[in-house]
Amino acid sequence: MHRILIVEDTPAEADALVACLERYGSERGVSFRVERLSSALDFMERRPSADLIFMDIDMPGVTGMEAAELLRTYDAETPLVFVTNLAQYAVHGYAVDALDFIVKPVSYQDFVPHMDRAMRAMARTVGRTVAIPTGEGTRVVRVSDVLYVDILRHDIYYHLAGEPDAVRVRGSIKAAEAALGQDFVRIAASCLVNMGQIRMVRRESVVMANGDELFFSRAKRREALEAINNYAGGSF
Amino acid sequence: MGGGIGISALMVLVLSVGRIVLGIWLISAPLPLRDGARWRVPLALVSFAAAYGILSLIFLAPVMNGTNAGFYTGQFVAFSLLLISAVGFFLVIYDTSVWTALFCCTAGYTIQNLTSGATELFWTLAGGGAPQSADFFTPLRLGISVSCVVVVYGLSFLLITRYLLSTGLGRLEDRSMIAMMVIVILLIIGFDLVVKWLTDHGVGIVPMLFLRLFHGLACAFTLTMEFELLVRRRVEAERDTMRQVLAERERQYEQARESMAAINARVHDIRHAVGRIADADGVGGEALRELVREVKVYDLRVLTGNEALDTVLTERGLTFARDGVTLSCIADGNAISFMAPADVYALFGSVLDAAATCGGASVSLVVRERLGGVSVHVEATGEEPDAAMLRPAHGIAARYGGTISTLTRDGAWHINLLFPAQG
Repeated sequence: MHRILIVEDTPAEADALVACLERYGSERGVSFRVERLSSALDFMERRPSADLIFMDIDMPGVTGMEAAELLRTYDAETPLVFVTNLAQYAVHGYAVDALDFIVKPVSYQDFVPHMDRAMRAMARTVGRTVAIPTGEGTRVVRVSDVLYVDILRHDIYYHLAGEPDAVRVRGSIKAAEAALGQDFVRIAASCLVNMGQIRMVRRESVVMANGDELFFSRAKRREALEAINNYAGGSF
Repeated sequence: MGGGIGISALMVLVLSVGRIVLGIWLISAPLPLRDGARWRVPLALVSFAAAYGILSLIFLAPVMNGTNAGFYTGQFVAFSLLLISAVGFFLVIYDTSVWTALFCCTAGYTIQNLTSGATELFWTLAGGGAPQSADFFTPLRLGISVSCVVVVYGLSFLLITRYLLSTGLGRLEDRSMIAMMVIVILLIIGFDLVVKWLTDHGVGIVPMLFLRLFHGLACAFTLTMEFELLVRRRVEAERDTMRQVLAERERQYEQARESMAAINARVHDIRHAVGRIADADGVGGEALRELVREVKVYDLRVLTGNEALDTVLTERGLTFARDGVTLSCIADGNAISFMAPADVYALFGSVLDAAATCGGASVSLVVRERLGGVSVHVEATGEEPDAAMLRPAHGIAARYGGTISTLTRDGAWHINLLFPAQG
């Protein structure tokens, strides 16, 4: 069940969007719980939480862009899609990290590719966990908190966000790769990196959120860069 | 006895002509033959052999069997004229310019002369440095000859011919250099004869070794220079092409920028005119207000903060609209300010043109700062486009250290570009 929020002052436009969501849900076998707000002011006062927000830009009083700016001050994650008849305004959506925008009037044919992207973005923000079998017992951590995994002698080390010491585990990096999933990429035979935790990509290395710099191996560089590229572009 | 001499003279002729022809072929292999090669090639070869025979009769026969200066002068004249005649026969076979023919003949002749010099060297060494009669058909002499041919021609094939076959020879224009080569090869022929003369007069093994070594180096140096000439010409040609491509890109961008600016100004004027009419009391009413809204929606300007990106988005936006494709873009134009405007125009033009051929109704584009660099994402519904359409994009991205990857997913084609942190 995905929680969808629609902020739109024209009821007919909101209805059109809801109809698209319903059809998309029945075709793809996913269910949505849709909440509607009729002004940006409402949104700013109530600050409702959602998995995905559709925001009209051109609303009387406070605009959707202003509401989005406020949203990003307390929530950097929730995917945001603008719905607008003014494509020129939406061009600047990168400033509030908007995922995408849809031009009104919304047709189902046009809606589908945008919704596909939004679904991928939602899948990313879902908090999956992974069980790490350590010497003192099994630890359960959020996958998004794993910065990277590397090998030293025959042990593998999980480097976690906010923890100075890595967690040592017996096992193989292949198994870790399978458990951690598609947000992770091998940048060298002995190093598995969480693409969501990369702060900077350099030509020969990546810098992680905690400042650690990890180098591409010659054999993996090209493939790893492609994966990071697709991740950064939002293709998965 | 007379018949024996006749046959051996004929064999010498065939072998000598064969070495020269093969040497020239090593250089000319990639050139196109003229129409009617089936009769031209044998005709030219037979004529060349005849020329060799005639030149020998005129210049060598009268002074044959001597070790006097006349014999060597005769050889020099004969071989020089032979080289010049080779150029003529070359043009009978190949469809090319006189200069290319000169180039191939001098280079081929140099290979032949290098081989001949090496043969003489080993032949003299085998005899302990003493002058020997040049009987071509003793097993030793034949063995040395064949070995030298195999080694020198084999190496030339591996080092030069293979390169030429893969890149082609093209037309050579550097006339002064080619003229230089002709003079150099004449000097080498002369020098080779001087060494022979000295050897025949018992100059001693050590000086002879040095002279032969020098002769070999001169040949190798000439070949290197000729090869260098080719490589340099190719690099220059590539640079010229690249410069033309860049100039063409620059021109296209300027043209597009000007036309988009003109269209934008026009739309701007229309919008204001319609707006003024609508504002005037009592005129038009709802229909005009509707028109104002319409015109506002069709305001073409896309302002991303990067003029080249604005231009290409506006321009392609028009063709997309005509074809019923919605183009939605979220773009931070400032993020790509590290690229030259003409490159931005060509890169995004190439990617959007590819996206347009996907056949779907929707194309979206996102340009934003990501991971300390810049990420570009374009997604188009429909089929994967022809990869060749992205060739310019690959070239431009590579120049800025960018990575391009494409994939298809959920019935949409994706292309992602990532430019790593600059510097």
